[in-house]
Amino acid sequence: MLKCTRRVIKGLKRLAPLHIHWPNSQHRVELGVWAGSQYGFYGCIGATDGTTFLLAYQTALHPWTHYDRKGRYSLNAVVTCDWSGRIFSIVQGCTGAAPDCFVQTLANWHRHPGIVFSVGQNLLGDKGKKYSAQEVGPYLRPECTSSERRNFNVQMSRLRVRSEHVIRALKGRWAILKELRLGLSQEKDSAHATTWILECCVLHNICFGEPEMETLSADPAEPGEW
Amino acid sequence: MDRGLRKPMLARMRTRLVVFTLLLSLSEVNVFPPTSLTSLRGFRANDGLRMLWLLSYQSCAVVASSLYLGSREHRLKCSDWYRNVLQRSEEERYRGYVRMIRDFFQNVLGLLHVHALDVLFARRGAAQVPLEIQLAIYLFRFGHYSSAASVLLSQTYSGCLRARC
Repeated sequence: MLKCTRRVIKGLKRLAPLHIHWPNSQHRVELGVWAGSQYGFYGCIGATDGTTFLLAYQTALHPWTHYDRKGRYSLNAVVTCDWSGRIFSIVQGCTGAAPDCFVQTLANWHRHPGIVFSVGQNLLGDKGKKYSAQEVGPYLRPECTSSERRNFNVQMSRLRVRSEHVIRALKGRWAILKELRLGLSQEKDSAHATTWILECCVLHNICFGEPEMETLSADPAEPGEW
Repeated sequence: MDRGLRKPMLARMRTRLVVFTLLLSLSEVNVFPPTSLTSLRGFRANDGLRMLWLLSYQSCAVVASSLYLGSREHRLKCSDWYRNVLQRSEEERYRGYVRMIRDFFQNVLGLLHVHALDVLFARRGAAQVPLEIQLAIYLFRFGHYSSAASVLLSQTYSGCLRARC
């Protein structure tokens, strides 16, 4: 049983670069045009959101670093997806105590924005992210005074909610991510846990297009036209 | 029949086979008188010895070729689960087991065959569970959470527990 799991994990790990990759320039343009035509956010190529993957057991190695703000032991990751629900970037390896804005700084799209973004392109994030030219988020409370800004927040949340749906689909389909039954007692165990998460993302992208994924969006407009 | 009886029974049968072989060879060279081994009229001693030798040879061969002498309980294994449960289940139940439809399962299987065939087989060519069963067990485990994803429960469900011999 353990050997079966280990072998398949090794095999799926090789598929990760094939199925989780940043969209090319043409695809990014199409994503930006679709977001602009449907919601008015021209140039937004995807949405990003942070999530925690719970651990079933307290870690033996530095347990306080895995203790998140919700009082559970977990790992933190930032998932970036396009408007059709395909994951094209996942940043992991951080413990649950690390905030999303820190995990975001480890992402390639944050560290090398000139390479991965064309001019005028950006991502939608939530208010816990670090805002930049490539990371757009909602107006926060002191600044959110006018109706235009409140409307901007509402329209942006309508589009950005797709990243929440992707995380829901990921954890719903691969339910082991709801609670990782791994005792993180060594450094290699952390790598094992991140590999599990990565494999589930690979399988999510491979199984992309199943009927469950077609009903992902609550909005009638679907970005599956390309 | 108990486990410990196979070896002494096999040894006894071999001894009997050797004895009958010796007797048959001695009777072939007419060491025994024709009526010393059997008192039945019209029944030749060589025929009786040949029949006994043949019976002992056959019983020795049967015992030597079978690992267990008595009938044993059939323990369902992961291949039984894959063939009889997973393959024959309807589509919704199939998706409940492996979290994807059959076409995508074959798709993943094909990708693994193309890109990662070397890591999925034993290095020295030893016999191993087929790849599709390994993948089904993996998907079954990763599609459940909490105690349902534990190694023991997944083993019990998919029949991967090591049989007690």
